[in-house]
Amino acid sequence: MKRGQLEKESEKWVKDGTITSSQRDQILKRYSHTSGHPILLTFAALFIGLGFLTFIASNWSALSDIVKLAIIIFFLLAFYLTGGYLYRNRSKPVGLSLIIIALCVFGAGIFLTGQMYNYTSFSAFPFFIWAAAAFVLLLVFWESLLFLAAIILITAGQIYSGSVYQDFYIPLGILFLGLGWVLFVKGNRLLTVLFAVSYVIQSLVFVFAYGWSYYWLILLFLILYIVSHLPYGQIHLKSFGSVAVMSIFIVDIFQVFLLGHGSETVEYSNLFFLGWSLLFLYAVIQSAIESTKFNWIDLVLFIPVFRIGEGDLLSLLLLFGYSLGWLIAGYRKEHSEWVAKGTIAFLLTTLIAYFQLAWAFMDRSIFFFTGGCLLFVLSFFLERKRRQVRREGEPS
Amino acid sequence: MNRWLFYTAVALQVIFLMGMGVSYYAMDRFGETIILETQPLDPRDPFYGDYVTVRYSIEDIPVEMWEDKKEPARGDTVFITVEEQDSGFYELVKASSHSERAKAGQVELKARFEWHNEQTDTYQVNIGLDRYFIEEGTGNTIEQAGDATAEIVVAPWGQKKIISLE
Repeated sequence: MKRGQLEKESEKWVKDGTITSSQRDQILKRYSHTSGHPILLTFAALFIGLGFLTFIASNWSALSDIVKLAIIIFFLLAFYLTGGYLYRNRSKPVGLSLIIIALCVFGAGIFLTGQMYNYTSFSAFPFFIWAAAAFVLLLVFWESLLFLAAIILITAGQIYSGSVYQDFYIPLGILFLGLGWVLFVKGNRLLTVLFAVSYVIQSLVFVFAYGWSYYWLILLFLILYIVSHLPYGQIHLKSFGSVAVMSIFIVDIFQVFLLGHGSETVEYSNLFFLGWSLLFLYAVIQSAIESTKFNWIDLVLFIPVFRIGEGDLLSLLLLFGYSLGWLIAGYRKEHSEWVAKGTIAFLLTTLIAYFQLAWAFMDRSIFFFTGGCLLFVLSFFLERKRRQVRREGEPS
Repeated sequence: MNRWLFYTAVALQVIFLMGMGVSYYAMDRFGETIILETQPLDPRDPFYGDYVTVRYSIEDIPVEMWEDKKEPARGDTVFITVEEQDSGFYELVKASSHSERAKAGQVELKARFEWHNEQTDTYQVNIGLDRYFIEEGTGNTIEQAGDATAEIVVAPWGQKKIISLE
């Protein structure tokens, strides 16, 4: 409540006898006059800051290296200390945004100093230092924004390491595990999804940097899936499962197009089969003891088919099995979410099957025309069925 | 919020940046200067700005100078030892996958193995000084100069830098 408003209101309260006039004074004392014009002051600070920044930017190359370093450190300290002060005493959002700016200054500082002093790195070490700073700040403030910063830096650093040095940078991986702990202790759905997406990206970097075959991804995604369904896990970790299923779905789509005649020649490691068997067995047992009896349908997608031959057709079968599984389970349990999931997966799979089987020998225009009609008819029937389930699910 | 952890985090970041500066200047005092033959190549990197790419003659290691039996893999760390010649240049004497105490007059450099050039039968390595940053717009003049001489200082803690490129 504003002070002016309070003054008017409290006058009535005194008249009504709700409070005495000395109580009114005491209350008003708590709402002291706000100082000056906060908006004007903010703009004043912003303009001075911008003036300072543009002055430095235009004279940057003329400055000596030591002066440059001093300027970077000055800004780093100024943003951190002001941010910390504001966070404690005034406004958390403003303080936090200054701290994020300071973190950016630190990152820019690492690369600028590296450039000034001819540093060349042999790894993603600069990114590790930067991400580590973000991680420590996260431990200080426990704010989602800092979690976001840390996860972006780790992922970007890992991609950088993979593309420039063909290497998965292990310290960044360890930091990522640290983030996993933070997520476990205090996370939410959005952060969980981001973490899982980062895990998928890092899995790609890991597998391709070490020159391993793509099928190891199946194992890595299966681990993500299992973690999301651990019996004593936190509820927000459930989102891992959706990301894992989506990722393995995409892997299976790739298999449909890329496997085929070459299936048998894919080099094959016994270690993979051993690891996969153990994990898969565990995942099956886990889904059997869960209260939802249908989660085993997800596991269909994790079956490796690259070894047996006809890998493309088998992958298609997996995709169809998954889609039909959820469709049937959805109809039987009258669960409209499952039906929706199954419908989307089924339409996608049909499209892929159609591309795979008909693309080679059909005239292009007939191909697209027939495909369109096919999907149209399919979606019509599926949608009708879905509405039926929805209606039956609702209490009449 | 834990205030002391916060101040420690800030202090460590400042110390890290300062350390980058200090160790660079300390190299002048404690390092050993060597002169290497180079062949400058192509300028410009989107991430950093303007620089010339430098390749050194000592980065082509003839296979017979490799002291281990096993061929290194891409990305492995290798140690190359250089020695001053009468011409004033430092030239390669040996290379291996483990570090050794350098003899008098010799300097050991840390490098990263890149690939085995079958045609010339040499191991290509990178000593990590392939970028020499220069003022905006002067990249061409240095590149056109052709073969050059690089003066390099190597610190006892392994760090090294280019002092000049002529």
